[in-house]
Amino acid sequence: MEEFGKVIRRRIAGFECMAILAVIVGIIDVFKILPQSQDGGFSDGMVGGMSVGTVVALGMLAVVQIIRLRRVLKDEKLMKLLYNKEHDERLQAIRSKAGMPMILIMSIAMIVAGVIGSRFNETIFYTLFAAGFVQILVGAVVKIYCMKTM
Amino acid sequence: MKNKIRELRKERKMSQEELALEVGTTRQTITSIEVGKYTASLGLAYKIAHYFGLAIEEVFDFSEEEE
Repeated sequence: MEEFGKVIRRRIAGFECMAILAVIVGIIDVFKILPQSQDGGFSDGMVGGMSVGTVVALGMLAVVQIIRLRRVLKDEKLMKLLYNKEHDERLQAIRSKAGMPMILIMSIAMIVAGVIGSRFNETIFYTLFAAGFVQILVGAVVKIYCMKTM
Repeated sequence: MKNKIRELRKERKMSQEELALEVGTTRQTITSIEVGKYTASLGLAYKIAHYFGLAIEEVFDFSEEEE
């Protein structure tokens, strides 16, 4: 269990980096440090809004995970429950059927790439954002289906 | 696959969560095994049987699998 505590501490550090990155990207967005698309109009505002929303969502996700994992670190029973959940053979089988965690990692990478790409071309943003979103959606549907049937 | 986990648990007045914690799995997995939705791996079946102090074949019914 001590080893697992180290894993959780490493995970907290990762989420802290993610939260800091979200704050940096948020600041860049708010103060418009990077050059904006020259098109103007509705779609330009939409791309900007979606980028900010995605960054805020990722930042909030990181903060929630940091709070949750810090609570787990303080409570031995919670840590055992989390350990069991992560090493549970049925959940591992369900995750592998749903393509997790690679689909989730790829989707987040695509969405982040889309947010960065939106600074240069909005078509890149729409394509990457939609592909990432659909990937997450399909993974979630398969996971829910497997959880009901297994 | 049929099994006697529910009966053994009731005899010992144990909840699914308590058993799950003892054998290193989740409550949902114990539920799935009890109702026959999920077939436990050899490792987990051994842990459950060992926890109740029985042999695997005394807890799990393999007769359907053989057919």
